[in-house]
Amino acid sequence: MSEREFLEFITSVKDKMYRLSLRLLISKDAAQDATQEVILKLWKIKTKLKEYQSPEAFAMTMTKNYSYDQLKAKRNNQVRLVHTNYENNQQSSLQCQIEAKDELRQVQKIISNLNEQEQTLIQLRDVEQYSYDEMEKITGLKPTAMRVCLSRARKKIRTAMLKQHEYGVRK
Amino acid sequence: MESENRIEELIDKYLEAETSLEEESVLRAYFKEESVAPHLVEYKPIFSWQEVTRQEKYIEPLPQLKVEKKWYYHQIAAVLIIGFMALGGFFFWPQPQKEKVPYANQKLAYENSKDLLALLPEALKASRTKLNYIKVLPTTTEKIIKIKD
Repeated sequence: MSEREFLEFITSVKDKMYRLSLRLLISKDAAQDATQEVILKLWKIKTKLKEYQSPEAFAMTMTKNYSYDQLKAKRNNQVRLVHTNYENNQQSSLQCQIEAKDELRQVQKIISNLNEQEQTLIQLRDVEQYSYDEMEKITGLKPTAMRVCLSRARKKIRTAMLKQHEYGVRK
Repeated sequence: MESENRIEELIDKYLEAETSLEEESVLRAYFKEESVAPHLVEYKPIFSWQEVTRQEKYIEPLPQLKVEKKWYYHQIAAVLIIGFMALGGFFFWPQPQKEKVPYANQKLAYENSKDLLALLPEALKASRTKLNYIKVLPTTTEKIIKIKD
């Protein structure tokens, strides 16, 4: 890959890489660092990138692995990161915005309580809208295993949301 | 606008992770609308969370991507050193010196060779007189050796 091709390639995937590491690492700073690290790693092997079937899947795999490693390191250090910054781009009235923001924050919280694998799959499928083929390349999981895990994650989110909802009603 | 029944069906499929990307985009489009059926309202934030999360962008500048120039410098240095060594070898290698003959000696040598060439005709003349003896040789042999018939 030439320098220009590499830049074009990175421009097309850097947001996805960033969002995946943000999902897993929660903190924006940590996610930015992770993205930068992975970009540098990719740059070092840019001549070999074309040999991969899908350079994008490879970049995502690297991001995923790097974020997992970071998480492991953090768990060892007993550090908890809390994600507070959340932007809402919806156009509705102020009241609706506040409500929506609140609900979104709830979803966010529920998702951040899922395990790493479930979070990764939700991110890849529901946010980035990857096909199962691409997800298989990124995660290295078998399609059936991915579906089971993704289904479990979606159900967990739904159940948690219902609980919240009922709680609100009863109150 | 999809019917509520269809959406419910799709949600069930979605929870089993059996929806295709197209079906998921149908769900996303439905929950983007303001008018969502009351019993489906709790799904709305899940899908709008997906939409909002997708907006997140990596806005930081790319890290400094260094082109590995060091390697080229090494190469250039190596080529230069080899070049200099080759040139040095070419110019300063001890060469067998050609003996230079002084001018006076050159003249002497010229004279010598001229004399030598001048002697040549005389030498030829002397050898020609000696050839005359060869003619005498058969006559004298006939005198000495008698050939039998």
